[in-house]
Amino acid sequence: MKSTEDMEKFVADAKPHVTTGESMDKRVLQDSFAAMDEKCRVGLAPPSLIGGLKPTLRFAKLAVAAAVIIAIGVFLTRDRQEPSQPAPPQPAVQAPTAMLSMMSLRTTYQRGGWDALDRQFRDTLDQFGPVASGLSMRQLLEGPNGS
Amino acid sequence: MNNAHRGWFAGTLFVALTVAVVAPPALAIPPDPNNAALLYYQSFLTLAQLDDAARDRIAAVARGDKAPDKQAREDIGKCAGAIEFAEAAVKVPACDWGVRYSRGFEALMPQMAQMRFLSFVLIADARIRAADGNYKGALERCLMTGTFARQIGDETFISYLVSVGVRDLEYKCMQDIVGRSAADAKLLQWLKDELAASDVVTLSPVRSLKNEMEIVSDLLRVDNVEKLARALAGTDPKKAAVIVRKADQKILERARGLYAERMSSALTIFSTPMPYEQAVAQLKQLRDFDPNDPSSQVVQAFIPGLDKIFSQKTAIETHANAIKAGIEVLLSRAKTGQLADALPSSLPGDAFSGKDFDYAKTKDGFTLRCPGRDLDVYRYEFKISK
Repeated sequence: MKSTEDMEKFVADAKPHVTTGESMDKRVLQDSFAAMDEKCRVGLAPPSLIGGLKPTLRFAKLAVAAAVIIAIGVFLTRDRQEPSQPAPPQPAVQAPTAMLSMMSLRTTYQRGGWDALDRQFRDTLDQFGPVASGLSMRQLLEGPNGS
Repeated sequence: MNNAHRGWFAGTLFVALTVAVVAPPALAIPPDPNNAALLYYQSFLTLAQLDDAARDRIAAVARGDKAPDKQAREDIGKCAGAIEFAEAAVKVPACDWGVRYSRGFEALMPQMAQMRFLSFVLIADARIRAADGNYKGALERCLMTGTFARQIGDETFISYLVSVGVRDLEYKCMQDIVGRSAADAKLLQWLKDELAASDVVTLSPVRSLKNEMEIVSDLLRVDNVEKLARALAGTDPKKAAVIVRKADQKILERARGLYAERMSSALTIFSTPMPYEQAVAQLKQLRDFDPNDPSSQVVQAFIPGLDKIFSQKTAIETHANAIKAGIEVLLSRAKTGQLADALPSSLPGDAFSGKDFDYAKTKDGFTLRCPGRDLDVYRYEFKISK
């Protein structure tokens, strides 16, 4: 039996090695419903509330079922597309320091003037510091136990 | 050992002992840095790690948008170490920031953002001093910031622009303080003399232009085509690949010629006295390129916003002149006991028009305005404390 959390984790992880199909979908749905029934039976909610929750529970079951089907559908579609369509070329990962280069600063000024340049300086401070240690020479020389 | 040798030995020993006793002892500790940038870098390292809100508070105080409250004072208090390093740095004449110019446009300049923030801290500190009635201390802090601005230098356009931004902050603060110290003729005279002495070193975008010309001329060579592609395409590998494929010897050679021609014209415009409007119009023309010519497209990417830079240069010169003219008006008031009805003659004027400032007395003091310019940024107000 899988708990609701297990199911969510299963969907979130989207394990690529799992072979999905009609039987798998059914089993996932059954597990979902069983997990919810089990939760109600063992009394996670006060007994007096269970009766009042029944119609809501039905909607909840449908909602979970729909979510699981959609999620599986999305993964299947994605998996099917991957082998046939080559991934579009990804831009090279921009190093955070790129914003500090002379070219980047020049371009920013060219496009937005002094105000834009000032904003970029502000972003630089957000990203890189200043990093104040606040340590004096004496503190730096202190041992781990303050000696 | 014969007598002659004995005498020689005794003489040598005597000289050695005399030197040892008379000569000063070797220095026990190494000297302080002789490069101001090393002290500024330590200043940046000791700037407090402040959040956005605190940095905004400091900037607002520095710009004069907000009076220094308890919180702002605490924020600046946390930057005391950074200010102390900056105080030491302004006393060192040489300043080499260690920019790796060999990297061309890929050279990183992380110090620029820190310089900007340090200038906010210094000027906010000046405004706190002024708020406490310490006008001399406040003006000293302003002048110190002016020295810092000059040390930022003009090797690149970015450093030139940052230096202009720092000076603008300094002048705004000075403008607010001189009116408050209007009764102190001695202080005004001292400030006038200090400003005249600091005028010896002036920054100009001409030096940046020349350095950029070296960098770009080197970039526009087939050997450096990959570097060129990175500069033009940034992180877009497809675009970079197209540039590498298409940029041949012929295109680059033509681009080099075109670039040299345009930048030489820019240098001439920057160095030749001419009416502001004429200079701006000519600089704008230098950015007109044939959209169908690949060489022109390459060059266009490397021609900076020359008209904007010229405008900032003129604006900062005008602001400096307004401060000097304002001090003269206040000195005249200190002598005669009242504000003059007209601007004293031979004062520094508006650098945009080359004319004298328009002078007007107000309820609180006086204003100097650039003739023919209506925007508030061209109006310098001096409020006099009663």
